[in-house]
Amino acid sequence: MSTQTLAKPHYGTFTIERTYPHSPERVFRAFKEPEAHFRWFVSGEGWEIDAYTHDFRVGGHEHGRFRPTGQTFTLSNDVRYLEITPAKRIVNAYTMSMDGKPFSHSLSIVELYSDGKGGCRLVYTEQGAYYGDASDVKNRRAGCEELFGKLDAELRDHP
Amino acid sequence: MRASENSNIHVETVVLERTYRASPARVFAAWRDVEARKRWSVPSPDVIIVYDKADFRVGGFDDSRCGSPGDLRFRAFVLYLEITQDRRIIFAEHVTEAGIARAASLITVDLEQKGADTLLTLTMQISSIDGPEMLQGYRDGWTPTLENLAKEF
Repeated sequence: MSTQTLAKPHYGTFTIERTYPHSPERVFRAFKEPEAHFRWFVSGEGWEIDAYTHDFRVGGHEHGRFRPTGQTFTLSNDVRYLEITPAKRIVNAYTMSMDGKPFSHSLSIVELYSDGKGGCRLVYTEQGAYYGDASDVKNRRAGCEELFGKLDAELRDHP
Repeated sequence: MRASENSNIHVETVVLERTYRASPARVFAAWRDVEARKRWSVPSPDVIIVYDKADFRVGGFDDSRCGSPGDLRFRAFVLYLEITQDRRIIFAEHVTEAGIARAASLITVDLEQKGADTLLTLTMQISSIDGPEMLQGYRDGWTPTLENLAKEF
């Protein structure tokens, strides 16, 4: 077997919290419904979406492939669901790849809590193995924060 | 530690190491082979593991139950994310106890040749659900399990 050095990933953990003026059930629907999920999680300015599947069930596999506009490299995201407790918790593992080569594996947990005022507190916890450099965790956190901002717009614009 | 003050998830990264008197290929095979896992991947002789599904490939799932005979209360759903022959396995795991979600984790197994031996490094990034108990649960489970693995060689 090969004795060449196998790149070691960085291990990191981060948590993001957001509060939305919508019920946990409403926020959960934005994950569950294919069109809603596509709007806030997948589509975006500056990206060409080459492929996307929605498969929101335990054991389901979602595959997304996309390119920054004008670039020749392709990114892909493979998500597999491990637990879906409606309006409460979503657990998945996802792998991001560039041109077919994985550069991170992550465990992702979304928790939804009622804030007691008709709104929802979302807590997102990610634990991952990242093959890039020391800024990976910070960059991933920033990317996720952007997504949860897009979720805010989705909930507001598509009641 | 808690993922956040508003969360019931407790997170920890636990790293365990053990050296085995066997080549990386043999240690890797013990992880890959379901019959071997039934022998070594339980923390004590009173515990058995049953595989309802086993699919050791990237994107494949294992579905297993373990516990005392007659009370297989723990169910583990394992998803393989990365498999590098004789070198590394990365998998995500979701554990329920009597149907209640208890933990999810991202686990890396690294195998490094050291002469005729193999150094195994187990990196477990654990999310204990609804309380911190599973953080200790993983330590209590995997420490004797890594000892058991040595009996395979």
